[in-house]
Amino acid sequence: MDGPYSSVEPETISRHLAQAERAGLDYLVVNWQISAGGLHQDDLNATERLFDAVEKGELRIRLAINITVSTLDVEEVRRSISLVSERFAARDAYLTVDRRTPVWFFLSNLFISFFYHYLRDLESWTRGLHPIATGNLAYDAFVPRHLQRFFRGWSLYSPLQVGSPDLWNGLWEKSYASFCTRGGAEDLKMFGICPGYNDTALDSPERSIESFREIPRDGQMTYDLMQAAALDLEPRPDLIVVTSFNEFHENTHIEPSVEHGETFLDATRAFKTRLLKAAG
Amino acid sequence: MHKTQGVSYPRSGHEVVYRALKNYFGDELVYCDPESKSSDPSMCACGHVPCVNPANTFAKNHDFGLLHGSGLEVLPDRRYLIQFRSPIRSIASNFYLSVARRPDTDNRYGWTKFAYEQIEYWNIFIDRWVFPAEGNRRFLLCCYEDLVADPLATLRRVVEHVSQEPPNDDMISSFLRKVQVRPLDRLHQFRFYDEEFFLRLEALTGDRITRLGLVPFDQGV
Repeated sequence: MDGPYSSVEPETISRHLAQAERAGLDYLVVNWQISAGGLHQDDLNATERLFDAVEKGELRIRLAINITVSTLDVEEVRRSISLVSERFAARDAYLTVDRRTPVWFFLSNLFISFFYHYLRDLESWTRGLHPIATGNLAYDAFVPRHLQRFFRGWSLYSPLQVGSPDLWNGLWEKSYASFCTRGGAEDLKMFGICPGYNDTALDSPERSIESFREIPRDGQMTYDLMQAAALDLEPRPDLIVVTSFNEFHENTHIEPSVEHGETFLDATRAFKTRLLKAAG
Repeated sequence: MHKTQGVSYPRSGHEVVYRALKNYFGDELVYCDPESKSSDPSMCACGHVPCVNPANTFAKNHDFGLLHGSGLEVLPDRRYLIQFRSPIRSIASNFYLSVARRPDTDNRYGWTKFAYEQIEYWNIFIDRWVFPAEGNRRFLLCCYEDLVADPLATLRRVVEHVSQEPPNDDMISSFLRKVQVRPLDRLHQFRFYDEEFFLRLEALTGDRITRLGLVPFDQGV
């Protein structure tokens, strides 16, 4: 509601943390875009400040990092994973789930190419971390076994794009159940939810080939459907991931906005209450 | 008996009204339910909407076509009995019927999807059939909550509307001695009872609940 902002600014960080608290969020996943020049210094600074703010404020919320690889520069990818490992993972503010330290990787086509070429290295670089896959690839038995073996958590980043609305619940359930039945003792069972999606204002060849680029929120209906699907899941997920806090460019944000006001922040808080109630 | 088209929002008491009228009019009532698979010989089985059986005197219809822009036509030679009910209770009640037909939807996701579809249908139904009926003598509005609160008076009004003779209260009373009009469903026992969600659904009806004098779900019985 405040117009364009920089995530590096301390007042932005304070506002976001207060909003996240109000929404009942337990953790935020910070996206790192690793491009040809590596991780941008502003992103690193913003992450440092975010961790500092959580720790100094002794806030309950925890933080984690998602790595989006947009380069084939192996050294930059190694450096970014090393930064997660050495500078953030051990901090008090970093999210742990039963002593597992999750780090997300966005499964772009580029990353999958990178993954196959550098699998051994990735295994070595992520030692001590708990790699989580996110992206638009629904988990099932046909996911290549190297990906199955490496990732110990799986959540759809954009669950509304998996298929037409009449197929949504079936596809989400199937993907979740498929991951849950693979029997990894250390796996994190995860489910991604989203209030809507619209990237039609963005023009790129990768996006233009996608089939479902505009999924209206319809008030809160779309978000309600996703929440209902999450509440129905058995076994219960270890983590629910909300896409997103502030990805305004894809219109998935729950952060207050001129168009939606605080509706989706409040809806997220109400969902948290339902989740806790369902968990007994 | 006047040839009468019943147009009812699901779970608004059509069944009890039909049985009361059948009890009252006997063979004079020739009933048509285009969706029924009953082999009852007293029922018209024409399968058409509107009913094409010249003997037909009372027909059932939920006007589901409203959702697809192809609603029921108002015919000049019929009277209309419009039945409706407060939205949350009728939708929750209708969900039980829906899952009996589609057991795979008996989950929270299925309920949420159903509730959103039905609230839209309720709004369209009210706008198409209830508000325009006010003050039109060919149309009678019959609210389920009234039927429960005062079955004798409500059924008397229904009989008066469809009959060409003055109503016989004794006959209506004798029916009510045999058949109890079901009390309102206990919403708190609904499997997916969720006050916050119900409030949000009701908000989607705009001012219709107030305009109709219906009681919001959280103030109901």
